[in-house]
Amino acid sequence: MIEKIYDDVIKETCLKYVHESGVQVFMLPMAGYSTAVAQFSAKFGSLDNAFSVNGGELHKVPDGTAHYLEHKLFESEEKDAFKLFAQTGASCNAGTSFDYTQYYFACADNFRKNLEILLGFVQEPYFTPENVEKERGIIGQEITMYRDSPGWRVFTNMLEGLYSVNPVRNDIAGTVESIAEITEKTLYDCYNAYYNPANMFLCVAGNFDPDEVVSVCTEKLKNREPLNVKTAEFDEPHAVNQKRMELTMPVAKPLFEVGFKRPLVSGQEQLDEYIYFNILFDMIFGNVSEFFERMRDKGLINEQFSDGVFSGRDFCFPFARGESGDPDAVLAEMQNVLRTYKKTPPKREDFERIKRATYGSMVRSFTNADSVAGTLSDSALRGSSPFAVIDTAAAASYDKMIELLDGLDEENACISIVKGDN
Amino acid sequence: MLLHTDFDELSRADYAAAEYILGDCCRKFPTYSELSKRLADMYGASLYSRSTITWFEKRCTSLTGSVLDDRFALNGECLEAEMCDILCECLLNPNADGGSFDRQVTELQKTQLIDDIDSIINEKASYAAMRGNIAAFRGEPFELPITGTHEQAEAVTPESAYTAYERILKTARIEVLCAGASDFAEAEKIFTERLAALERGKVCELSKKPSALKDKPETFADTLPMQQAILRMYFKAPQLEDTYFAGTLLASILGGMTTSRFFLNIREKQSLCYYCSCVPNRILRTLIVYSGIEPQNIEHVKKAVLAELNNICENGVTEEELNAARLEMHNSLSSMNDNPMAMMNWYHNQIMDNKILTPEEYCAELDKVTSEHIRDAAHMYSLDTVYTLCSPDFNAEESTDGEEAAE
Repeated sequence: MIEKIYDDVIKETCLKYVHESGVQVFMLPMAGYSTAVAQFSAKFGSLDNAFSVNGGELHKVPDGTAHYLEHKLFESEEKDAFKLFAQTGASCNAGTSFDYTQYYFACADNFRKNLEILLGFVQEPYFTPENVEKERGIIGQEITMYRDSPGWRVFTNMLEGLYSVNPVRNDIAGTVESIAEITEKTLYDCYNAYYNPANMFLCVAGNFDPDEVVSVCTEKLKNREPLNVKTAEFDEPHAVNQKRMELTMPVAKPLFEVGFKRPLVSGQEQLDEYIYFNILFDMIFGNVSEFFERMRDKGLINEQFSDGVFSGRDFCFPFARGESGDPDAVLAEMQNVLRTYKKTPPKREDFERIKRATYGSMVRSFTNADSVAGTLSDSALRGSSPFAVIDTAAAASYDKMIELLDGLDEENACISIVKGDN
Repeated sequence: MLLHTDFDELSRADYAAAEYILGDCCRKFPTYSELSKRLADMYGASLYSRSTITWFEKRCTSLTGSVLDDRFALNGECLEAEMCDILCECLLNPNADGGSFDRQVTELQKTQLIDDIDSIINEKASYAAMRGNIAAFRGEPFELPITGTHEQAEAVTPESAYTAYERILKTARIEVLCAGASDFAEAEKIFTERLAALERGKVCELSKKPSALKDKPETFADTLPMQQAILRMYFKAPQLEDTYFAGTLLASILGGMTTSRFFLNIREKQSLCYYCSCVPNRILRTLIVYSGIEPQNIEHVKKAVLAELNNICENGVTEEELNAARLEMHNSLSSMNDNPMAMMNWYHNQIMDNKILTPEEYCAELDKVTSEHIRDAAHMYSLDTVYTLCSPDFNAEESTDGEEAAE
């Protein structure tokens, strides 16, 4: 049965149904669009580095396994998925994050065929010692490419500084050493556990017929015995692991990224933190703020400075990043600003301005099939309504934001810096 | 708004600084903060300016505004009209007085410009592209970054940037492009009225010129402390027609899709690199191959790239490859209707063509291309420049054919 979820804020309707296999399907048809985007995802990311099935023993897997599996799933005994998509013209790819792996295509024609290919190859793993070995060099090179990127290193170092045991501190792709331990058995073990239909979801947006999606799902999705897969839990301390991380690389001006560690929350509580800290940080540190203007006038930041909230399963915290000749001074000033606003709260008028801009950005994200599919996937991952983010933003209250500001510990922060060797 | 101007004796940095200032504030909103507040009030609208070198041998100043469709405004505001008005204010009424931009604004933007010029080293692929272009396009507009050098940026003054601004207003060929869910009648009215007041001089004339092919291929190398190496190979075909559709499909088949020869043969079969792709330019008549590889594989990848091109020269391409490339292009061009920025770029790139093609008409032309056409196109490309960027540790011990890139 298809459930209709209507949103009064942006006047859109999302269709949801659960296939008998357990795969959750979310669809948002967009009238007047040419493109359709489909994303098929498993709740399996780099955070899942140890797990048990049906209460059995704990399996530990090397860092980078989810990403390695993503690379290998495109291959089959006969024709790999890229070649199949080449026969339809769709663009396809995949991505691994901390808490999910996603396979997707975008097409203007042949939607049905493309969906059949997508559901087909993701459900048909083909791992051999030879093809797993062949991929090791390619992934090794991908890892080294990211290690050459100061922007990526300043971010991953911040995660390492913030967290002591949370696996979000480990690089998604792993290391050259950790991927050396991955075998076809590792991949099959993880596939069989986490690519269970009950742990997967399909999100479709753009120009397509929902009945066709249901028909293809009926035809292609395989039923499998549900499993009770549990990722190992961890006990992350409240305090940051390191307050300061520093690395030397070829950069013109030091790059920095600051994260303010928060206690672990989930569900609507995490969504609230995501929206409210986005509004708060835009308001007090963003390009409309007195802080931004003052720091820019002093030459301590430039227009690269930005802020946001990084969130997913088992992590959610506000951050700011940029370039500065003196990153420590920027952090000190940010902490001052937070202390000051705790004593003298920011103006309501400024809150309303950013709330309105946030509403605009949410609406804009619903005008592109790619981003709509992404929004549906994010909400499926979180287990919330497809419109929960936009509804939370539209209903955001000043008092609730002040409450979260008061609870933010500005000292429990980590600054990561990448500086040049000059 | 796209403003094409000639390169002249003023430095690239003078123009770039003027462009930065125009996107940052205006007389009505004299600071970045004030302009940002107004844009935030308009449901998070955005406005930015950018300098690019167009394919038409000229510099292009773009001033771009993006705003929510009026139907989503909660209080019935006319956002489209206001955005057009702000764009015109930024272009026509900047924060300037007596032949000079505001000093404080200029200083801030000068610092930003210097930071942007210097920070290219942060992204190795961008740095390699910049250094590779110096070697490949010597003496041509594409040789140097459009924002100028660090030294030129240091020399910018409120007066020199303002002089550049005045020249833009007086001589630019101005194109206004709008895309989105509107008939843009209001936008047309505003731009027509506001731009009509401009005092114009001799307007810049666009031209199309292919990049010159060197007498023999040249090799350049740079070093940086890094783990992965980057290889860029520049192929040129000055004699290729600029509307030669076979050139587009050749690039797709060689390195433009996930079933390309570079992807399947160099990455998947030989595991020589993480990525190896190519991008064509129909006006410069170039094909640029770029790859991220382990330093010890540089020579292998070079040979493999040349072997793939030679193979097409000798044997053409298969029907399967041709169909895949056509389908991929059809898909990509049909998707353009959903993306206002892509639509604007599509039409902007054709402003010099005798006939402007819609994406559908372009697809129809691609359908006429045969394997022989692609083989002919492949024959026309010659290797012009090879550029590598890799760790000094590797170069010192292993490399034998590098020399420093020309400054």
